[in-house]
Amino acid sequence: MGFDQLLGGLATVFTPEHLLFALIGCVLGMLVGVLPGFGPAAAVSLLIPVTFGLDATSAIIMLAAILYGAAYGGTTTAVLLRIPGEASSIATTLDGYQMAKQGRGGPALVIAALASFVGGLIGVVGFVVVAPFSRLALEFGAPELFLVSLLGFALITSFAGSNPAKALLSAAAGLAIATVGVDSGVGIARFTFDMPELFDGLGLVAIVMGVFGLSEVLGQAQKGPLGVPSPLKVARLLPTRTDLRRSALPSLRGSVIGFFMGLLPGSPGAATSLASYAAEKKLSKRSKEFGRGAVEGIAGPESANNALAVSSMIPLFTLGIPTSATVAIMAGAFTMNGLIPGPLLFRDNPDVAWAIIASLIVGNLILLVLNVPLARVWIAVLKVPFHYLMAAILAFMFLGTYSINGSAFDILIMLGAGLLGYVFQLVKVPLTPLVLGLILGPLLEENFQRSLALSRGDYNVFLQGPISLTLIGVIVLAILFGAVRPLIASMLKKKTITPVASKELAK
Amino acid sequence: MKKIPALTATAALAASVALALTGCGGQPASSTAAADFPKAGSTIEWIVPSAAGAGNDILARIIAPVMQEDLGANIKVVNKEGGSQVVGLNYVAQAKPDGLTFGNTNIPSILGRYLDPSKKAAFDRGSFTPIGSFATNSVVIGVNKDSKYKTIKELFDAVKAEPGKITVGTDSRAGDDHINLRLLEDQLGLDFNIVHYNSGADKVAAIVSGETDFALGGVSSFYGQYKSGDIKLLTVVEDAASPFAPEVPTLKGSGYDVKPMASNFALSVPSKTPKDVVAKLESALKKATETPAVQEKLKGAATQPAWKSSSDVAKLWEERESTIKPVIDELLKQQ
Amino acid sequence: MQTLNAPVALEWTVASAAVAGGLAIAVVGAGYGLTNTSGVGAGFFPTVAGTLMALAGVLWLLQLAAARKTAAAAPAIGDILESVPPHRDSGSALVSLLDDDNSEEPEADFPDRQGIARVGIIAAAILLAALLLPYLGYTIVMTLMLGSILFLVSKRKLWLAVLVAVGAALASRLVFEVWLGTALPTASIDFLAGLGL
Repeated sequence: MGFDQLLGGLATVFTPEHLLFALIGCVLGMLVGVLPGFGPAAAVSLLIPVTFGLDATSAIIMLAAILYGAAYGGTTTAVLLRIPGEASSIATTLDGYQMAKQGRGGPALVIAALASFVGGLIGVVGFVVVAPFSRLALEFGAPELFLVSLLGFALITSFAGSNPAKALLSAAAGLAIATVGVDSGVGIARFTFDMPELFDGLGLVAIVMGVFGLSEVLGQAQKGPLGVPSPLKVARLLPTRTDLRRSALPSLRGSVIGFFMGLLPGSPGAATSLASYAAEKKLSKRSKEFGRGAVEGIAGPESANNALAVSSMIPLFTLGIPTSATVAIMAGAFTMNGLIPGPLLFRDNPDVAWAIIASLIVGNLILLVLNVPLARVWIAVLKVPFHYLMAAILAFMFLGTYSINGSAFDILIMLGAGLLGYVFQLVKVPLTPLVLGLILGPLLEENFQRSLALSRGDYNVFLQGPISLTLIGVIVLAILFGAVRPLIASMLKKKTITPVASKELAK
Repeated sequence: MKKIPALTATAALAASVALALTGCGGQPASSTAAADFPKAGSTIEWIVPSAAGAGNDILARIIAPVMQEDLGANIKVVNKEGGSQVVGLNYVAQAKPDGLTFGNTNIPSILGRYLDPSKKAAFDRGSFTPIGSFATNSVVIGVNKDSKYKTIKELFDAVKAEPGKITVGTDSRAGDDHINLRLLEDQLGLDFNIVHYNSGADKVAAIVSGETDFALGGVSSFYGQYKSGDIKLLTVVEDAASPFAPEVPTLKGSGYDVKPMASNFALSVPSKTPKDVVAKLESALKKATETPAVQEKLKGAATQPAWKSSSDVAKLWEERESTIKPVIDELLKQQ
Repeated sequence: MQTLNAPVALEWTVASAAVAGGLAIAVVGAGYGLTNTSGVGAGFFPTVAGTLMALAGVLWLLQLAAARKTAAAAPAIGDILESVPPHRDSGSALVSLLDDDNSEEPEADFPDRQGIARVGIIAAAILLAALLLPYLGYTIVMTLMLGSILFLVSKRKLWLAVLVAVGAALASRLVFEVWLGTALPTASIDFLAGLGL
C-alpha cells in the first residue's frame, strides 16, 4: 500500500471512459443535490440504477462522483438560499449566506469548491498514509464516543452569540427535541403521543431545513413582496487575492479536523464542520467578522466536510465497516458490483481499489473545474425577483422534505421547526446551538447507555484506557479555559468598572 | 386573507363528499379487472419501509427493473421510512387493494412490528397477502478472530458458567437480532448480556474491535469480515450449511436443537387484492428472482436467491408467528 | 402594549414558555424512569434537557426583569434602553459566563401587522398543503399553495399567480416523476385520481 499504487490508480482513472463517467456522476449528483432534502446518500441511492450495466470500476467511480456532486449541490443552496440540503452544510450557511447577501455569493461558491478540493486532496493523501493503521480507530468504543460527544458541547460556546442564557436555551431545546422517539436503552417511547411517525425521532434534515431555510424565507417575507432588494445583487464572481490568502490556512486545518473525525465510528459529519467553524473563529484575528460573511467560515467547514467524506471511506476499504449511512450506501454499491468491501479488496482487486481511491481526487478536481464557471449560473438564481424566488424556494422545500421519507409528516416538522427558528430569530436566540444539541444529544445518550450496558452498570468504564483519560483531561481543560477563566475575568472587570458605572448613573 | 379559509373549506368539503362516495361504492376490484392488470403505462409503487440505500432498498432497486419489464408497467421504488418500518407497512396495509402497491414484509422482522402493541401498527398478518419471497439470509453467530471461544459449544458453555456476563451486540432493540437472541436464550436456557447498536455495521465494528464477545445476525452482514478473517463464524442457525460459509457447522449439527432462523425477503400486497392480480405479481417476481443477472447481484450482496411462492410464504409467516409471539410477549412484560 | 413594546413582550413570552415547557419536559421525562438496572433510565436525559431549558428561561427572565428595572429607573431614556440587548444591564456573573463574544447580532426586524399576516399566510398555506396532500394529490396541492402565496403574499395578479402556480406544479412533477423516478402522492379521491392528478 502506498503512493505507487495511488499513481497506478490515477493512471487507470485518466482514461477517457472513466473520466466521462466521473464527469456525468458529478453533474448528475450536483443536479440532484441542489434539491433540498436530497443529500449525498439519497442521491446515490436514487441514481444507482443509472450505473447498471457498467463494469465495477466505472460504476463505483460514477457513484463516488455522484456522492461528491450531491454534497457540493447542497453547499450551493446553503450559500445562496440558507437552505442546508443536509446537516453537514449547516456551518456553510452561517457565513456563506451572509456573503451572498453582500453580493459575494460568487466568491463564496468558488472558495467552497476550492476548499472542498483541498479537503479531498488531503483526505486522499491521508488515506494512503493512515490506512494501514486504521484499526486503531476502533479503539474508540462506546465510552470514548460518549466522551467525544461531551467534548462536542464545548462547541456551543462558539455559536452562543452575545447572550449565554439564550444559547443555553437553544441547546437545551435541541437536546429535548432529540429525546423524542423510542429510547435506546430500555425501549420506552418518549414524547411520541402514540404516533408511529415519531418512534424513530424527528428527522434531522427536516428540522435543519426548517430552522435555517424556512425561517429565513419567513423573515424575508415579513418585509413584504418588494421590501427585499438586497440579497439579490451580484458584485464579483471570483474571490479576491485576500479571500484566497485568508482561506488557505483554514482549508488546511479544516482538512485535518475532518480527516480525523471521519475515521471515528459513527462520526457525526454535521458536528465536524461546525467544529472546524468553531476552530477558525477561535483562531482568527477577525473573529468578529464570523457570522457576517467571513470567508474562513466557508473554507474551514467545506474542506472538513470533504476530508471527512474521504477518510470515512477508510474503515470501509480496510475493515469493510461503513461508519455512516452515506458510506453504507457505497458499501452496498460495492457488493452489488461483486466487490467485497474490506481488506480483501486490496488483495483480490487492487487495481479497482486504487482506481476508486484515485477517482476521489479526480472527482473533486472535476467539481472544481466545473464550478468556477458554474458559479455564474448558480448566482443567476439570485437575480430572480424575490416574489417569485420565495415561492420557488417554498415549493422546493415542500417537495424536498416530502421526498426524504415520502411522508407529509416531515413537512409538518419542517414547518414547526421553521416557525420555531423564526421566533428564535426575532428574539435573537442563536440557532446553531439547537442543531448541535440535536446532533450530539443522541450520540451522548446512546453511547452512555451502551457503555453502561457493556459494563453492566459499572461507571468505571469511562475511566479505562488512555484514550478515555486523555479525553477527560481535555474536557477538564475546556471547562477551565472556556468557563472558569471568563468568569474570573468578568469578576475582575466588574470590580474595576462597576464604581465608574454607578457614578455615571448617579449623575 | 379571506380567500384562503374559503378555498380550503370548499376543498375540504369536496374531499369529504368524494370520500363518502368512494366509501359507499368501495369494494375489492372485481375479478374481471385483473385480466388486464397491470394497465400498460400504469405505475406500481414498491414501498420500501426503510431509508434509501438500506439493504432492503438496494435489493428492491435490483429487482424492480426486471419485474417492470415483465409486467409492462412502471415500478417505482418508494422509500417510506419511520416508526421502525411501521409507517411504511401501515401505508401498504391501507393502500387500495388493486395490486398497484406492494411492499417489503420481511419475515420475521415484520412480526416484531405488529406483535408489540406499543408500536401502534395498524396491521397484522391478516392485512397482507404475500406475493412471494425472493431471497433468504441465514442467521449466523460470529466472534472476533482472536476470541478464546473456538466453537459454539465453548461459547455457550461460557455463557452457562457465567450467566449475564458474555456480551452480544444487536443491530437494533427489538429487531431480528434481539428476538433471535431471546429465542436462543429461551430454547437453550442461556442468559446473555445483550447490548444494542444502531446498525448492523456498528454491531460488526464492535466485534472486530473486541468490544462485544460475540454477535448474531444475517450472514450478509458478516460476509466481508468473515472473508477477510477478521470475524470467525462459529455456527449457522440452519438445518443445512450456508453456501456462503460452507465449512461453518450448523447449530443442529453441534448438538443444539434450534429451529432455523433465516430471514425471508417477502413482498406483500394488501389482503383484499384480487387473486389473479396477486398471481400476476407472483409470476413476475418469480421470473425476476430466477433471472441470472439478478441472482448474481443478490449473491454479490451475500443474500441467497431463493424463490418461495405466495402460499409457502403465508405458511411460513404463520409458523414463525407462533414461535416468536411468546418471546415478544415476554419481552413486553419485562418493560 | 404601550409600556412594553412588541419585541420585549415577545421576549417575555418566549422566556416564560421556555420555563413552562422545560419544566413540563422534565416532569414528563422523569415519568419515563430516572434509573434502571444498568445505570440511568429512559427519563434521565429528557429530565436533564428540560431542566436546562427551564434554567435558561429563568436566567433570561432575570435579565429581562433587570432590564425593566433600569428602564423604569430612567423613564426618559426608556425607549432607547429597551432596544438594547437587555442582559448588558443585569450585571450577573453567571450571565457573563461564556460571554467571550460581545459583538451585537445583526438587528432583527420586527414584523408589523402586515408582516405577521404574511408569515401567517405562508405557514397556513404549507400546513394546509401538507394536510391535504394525501387527499388531493401533489399537483393540486402544490398549485393551491403556490397560487395563494403568489397572490396573497407576493401580490401578483390573480391570473399570473394561477398561471405560474400551475406551471411550477406541473414542471416539478415532471422533474421528480419522470427524471428522478420518485413517486409523488396522487389524489386518493377517485374523481381526481381518474383525471391523473
